[in-house]
Amino acid sequence: MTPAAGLPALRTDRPFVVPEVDAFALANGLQVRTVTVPGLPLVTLRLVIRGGRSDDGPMPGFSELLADALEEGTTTRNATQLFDLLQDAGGDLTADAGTDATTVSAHGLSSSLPLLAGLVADVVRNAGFPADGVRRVKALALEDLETDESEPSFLASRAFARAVYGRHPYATVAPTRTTIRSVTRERLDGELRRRLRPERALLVVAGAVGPEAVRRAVEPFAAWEGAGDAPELPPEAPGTERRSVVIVDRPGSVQATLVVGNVGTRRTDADAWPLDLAVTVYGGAFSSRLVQNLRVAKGYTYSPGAASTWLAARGVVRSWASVRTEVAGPALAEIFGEMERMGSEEVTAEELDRARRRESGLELLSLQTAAGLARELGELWLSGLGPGRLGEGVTAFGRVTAPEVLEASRRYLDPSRTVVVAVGDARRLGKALSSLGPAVRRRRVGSTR
Amino acid sequence: MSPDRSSPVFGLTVLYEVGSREEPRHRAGFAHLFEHLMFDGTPRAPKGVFDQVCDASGGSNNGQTRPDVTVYVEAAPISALDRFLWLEADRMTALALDQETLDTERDVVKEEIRFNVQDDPYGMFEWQELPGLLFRRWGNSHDGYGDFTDLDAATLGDVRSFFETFYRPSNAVLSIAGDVRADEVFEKAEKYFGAVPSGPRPVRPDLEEGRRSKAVVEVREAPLARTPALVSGWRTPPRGHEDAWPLLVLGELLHDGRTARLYRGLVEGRELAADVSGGFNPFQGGCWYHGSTLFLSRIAFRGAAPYQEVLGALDEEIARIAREGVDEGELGRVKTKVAAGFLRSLESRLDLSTEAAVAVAFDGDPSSLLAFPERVGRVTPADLARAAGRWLGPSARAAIVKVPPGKRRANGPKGRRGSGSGKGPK
Repeated sequence: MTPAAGLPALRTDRPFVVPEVDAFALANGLQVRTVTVPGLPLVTLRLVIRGGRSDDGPMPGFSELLADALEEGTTTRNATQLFDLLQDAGGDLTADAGTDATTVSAHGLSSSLPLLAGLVADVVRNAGFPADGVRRVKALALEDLETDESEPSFLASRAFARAVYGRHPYATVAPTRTTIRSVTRERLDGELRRRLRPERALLVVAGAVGPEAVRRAVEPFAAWEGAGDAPELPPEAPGTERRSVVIVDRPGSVQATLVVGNVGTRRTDADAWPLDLAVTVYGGAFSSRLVQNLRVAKGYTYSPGAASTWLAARGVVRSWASVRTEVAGPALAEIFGEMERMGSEEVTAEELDRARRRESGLELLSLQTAAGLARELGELWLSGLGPGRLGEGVTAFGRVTAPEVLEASRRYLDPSRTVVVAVGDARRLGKALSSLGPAVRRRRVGSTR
Repeated sequence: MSPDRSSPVFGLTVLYEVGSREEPRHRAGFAHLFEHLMFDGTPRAPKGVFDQVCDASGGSNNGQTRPDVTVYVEAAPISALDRFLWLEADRMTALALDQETLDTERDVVKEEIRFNVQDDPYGMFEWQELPGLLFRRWGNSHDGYGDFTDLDAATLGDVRSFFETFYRPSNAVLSIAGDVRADEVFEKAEKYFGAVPSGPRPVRPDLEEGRRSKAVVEVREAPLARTPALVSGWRTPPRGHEDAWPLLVLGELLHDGRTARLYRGLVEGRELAADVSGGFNPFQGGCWYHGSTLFLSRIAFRGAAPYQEVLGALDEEIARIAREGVDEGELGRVKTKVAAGFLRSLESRLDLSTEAAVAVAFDGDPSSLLAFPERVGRVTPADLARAAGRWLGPSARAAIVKVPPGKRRANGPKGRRGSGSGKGPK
């Protein structure tokens, strides 16, 4: 490290005391976990149901509409009554579809735990899908899509997912217009029973509540049941074996939004932790090579970065930067150069130590709140890991070696096997990127299936 | 400082009482550019050290420039507390900047503006353009991100003078929350910051404007947008005014979540809007403001709706509150949610340290933080009716309507002072 005369040394770390987790299951298969977080009189409930976009198959993005429609009330409470009750509990409820899971979350004052648990159970068991609510969900989804398509970051994510995942269900990031129009009350109801079922779900309760209170509060979930055949998990995503370039035309765009990457790992893969550290050294931290190069040394961009995600059928590793169009070519050359360097020599001991400390520190910080603990318990369960692994990130990074980081870099940061997406003014971009070879061009921003 | 031994981490905030409202004329955006330069090296910790040390300590950091304050925040495992105190004291003592660093950082800031503003379909118009239409005094009305001419004009001399005027201990608050003891923290603060040279406390300029007497509505083309949106803003009374807390509650009642009056009235009821957001002092949040601030409603509306109808519906929702007040049940629920939301915002050590620093900056007392739920609790239905009628009337507004290319005609006539430039008047 560059010397700083007088900088105090790190003191001894204080150990992370893993909070106790009360774990049990209901007869219908619903897993329940409680973490007591004393202090503020608040509670968070997080119901994680396996299957999100991964279940959508021929209806890309349907899971998002199903989640939205869950917020439209139940057979006994309309949306107005539902949200008035939540407000009175000092909280809120949201349903979201992700890639591998659909999550219904509620939070509020801990004194309202029974009410909050009852409302979450009511929503997944008895969603009402009223005609006006379904109509509004569809209309707003079309408006949202229209607005999203004006955002370069959305266009880049959509094109990147399509290019990296191909025909895999992960290839969609938002509902298509065809999917939105095809939504009916009957379809929502059928998919609700088929997808949202207790044996595919985990409920985490975290906050100023004890295990006994939680065991009583979850009673309304006992009668929850699914119907029909549960969706199958998607196959492993293969990723790309060559370099391809996709240009998305956004006429008048001031910047070029660049995304570069490929398929990555599952959380349980042997190279998952080494890859995380490789990405940290490469572009994941402010002191990383990519950020120091593109932002600090060259001033090309405000927003460079890189990250890897863990998904059940393999996540992604990606780098990004929004740069003024003139420097799109040089910026990409630097990105490829830094990827190349990661795969050609071991990271230094100083870099490895810095990356280990950063990742384990951030893990520790993320576990200081009830919401953070609930999120991590949900992630562990989705990866098939038990609550005993809570906090594993605080120590796991310390065991990763430099050769493992090199090996992961060679595999996942290979510039010859990567998707390159550039969103911007195509006339100017095409010129800036001509050295990369032929590109697949998408003419209109709005073009979609 | 606020001790919490439940997790071996801390959050640290250094707040300087200067924001974009006080930056020098002809230097719009300077307070923000300066915030970036605070990460670019000192005589003892050269460029790059700050972020390397932060990462190597398992920490995260950020800086935020707001209209009235600039905050620097760090969160990390407790083993790193001493070095972060050292780093903050070090950059409060002296910066070491050369022309090249200034030029590179200026490029980064320009890219930030291209990224967040110029390439955004709406150009962040509620932040970037509304103040220019709503306010008259330069401090309130100029664009805090700055235009490129003013940024280009910034010199190393400006940097030195801004630092010497505003970045003094007399104008700063240090706040720490987490796995620490009070005596230990105060001792360390003395050790690291005690020798930093101080100076006179800068005098805040008078930026009061009072309510607008005449409405202004402008229609502006948004070349990169595909759906229309509008923002309506109003000036608010100064801090401590009897209507200030009622306006804060009113902001939540109108905008927060599925229970919001505007959601139920405009998204569900009349089906005019796709999304509503806004409230009291939205650029800083809650109690972060000196003097007076603004209240705004941002509405993404459905393509087919004329903007006049959307503004009319917004006015009707506000007028109904001014006319009829709000029933005790609804107000009670809103207050419960505001108070619980406030507690939730104190959950992470970092957020707690920042809110405590803000309480010191604006109220001179960290314990004013604890009075928040009670201040909200005291608001009555009559307060809401009075505040809505006095401050949020149609004649006191400034509004900007953003329309995608080719949709202007369908949305009514061009505004009085309409311009397609996408920038508010300076």
